[in-house]
Amino acid sequence: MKRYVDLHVKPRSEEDVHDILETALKLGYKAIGLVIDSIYSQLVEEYNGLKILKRIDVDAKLDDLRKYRVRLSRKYDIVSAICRDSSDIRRALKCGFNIICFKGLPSTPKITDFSLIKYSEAYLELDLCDLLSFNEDERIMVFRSIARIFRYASRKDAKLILASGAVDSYKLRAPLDLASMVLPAGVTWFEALTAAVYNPSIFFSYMIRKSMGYVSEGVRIVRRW
Amino acid sequence: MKVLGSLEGGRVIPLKTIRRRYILIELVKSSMHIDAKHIVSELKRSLLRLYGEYGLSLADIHPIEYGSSYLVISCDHRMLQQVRSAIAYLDRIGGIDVLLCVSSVSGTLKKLRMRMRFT
Repeated sequence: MKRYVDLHVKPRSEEDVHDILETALKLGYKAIGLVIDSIYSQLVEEYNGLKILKRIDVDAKLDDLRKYRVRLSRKYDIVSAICRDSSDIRRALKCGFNIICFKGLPSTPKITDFSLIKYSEAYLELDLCDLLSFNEDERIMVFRSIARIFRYASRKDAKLILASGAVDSYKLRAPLDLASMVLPAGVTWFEALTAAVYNPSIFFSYMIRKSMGYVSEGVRIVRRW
Repeated sequence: MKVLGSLEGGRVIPLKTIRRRYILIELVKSSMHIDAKHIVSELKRSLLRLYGEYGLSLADIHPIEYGSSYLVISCDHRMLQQVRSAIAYLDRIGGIDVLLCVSSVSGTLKKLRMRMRFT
């Protein structure tokens, strides 16, 4: 049974979308978070059994961030904030984003940010696509930063998500291969597996429940008017 | 590999200390046809880059079987995850875009071949 989810894939063109979906099916994914603009709005919700989650990334530096989140969450399944430093993370959390996509590598968020992430029940997402294009020196810096992020997250009990962030089908990785990509940073196999496999699945099941009216423990939407 | 184990009642019990893992690597996609032999040499280079000479020597990679779209290698069981990560970091081999994935891992070749027949 397929149970893997990749929450962040951002194809460059419409041809890439088809390629990525075909490859994701081969690699054993059951759902994929596709960053789409209005060009691909005609995209179906499911492709040969592969669930497609419409996703949009919002720059955390934008004004009226909360307004954007509320407006976009009606149209998209996943609305994430692209953050490059600590102040971006704090702004995004204040505006109620569930997924904080950290793009500031090799810099690292502060340890206090991880406490905030934990209490706001958000997920910090790392894209591993860039690791493939880095040269050796850059990669060493990024590994150091990833090791620190994992250490802080485990200390503060914050949830991490590893996503491929693939721009084409060649950058997509099988779920367990994706988890193994952070091992050279000194991350344990269990931590990597939790971030690459378990946390995305938990987030996906939360989204499914939310679409059925779930708000939080004991609270459910029964009617809208 | 069998080595001499502990002495028990004057009898030497053979002890299997070095266990192997057989990894089935599937060539999911490539922009051009690629020889499986190149994949092994590139995999060793990737392992060397990520874990150094010590890591490469510990992994002890050997190619077992080639096919048009698959490759079976064996490695030391302690270095399985590291070899898997070295495979994940391979995205270009000799200027050709490739997508490799670990389809299956087994402790015996017999079981791996059985799985290959079913997939």
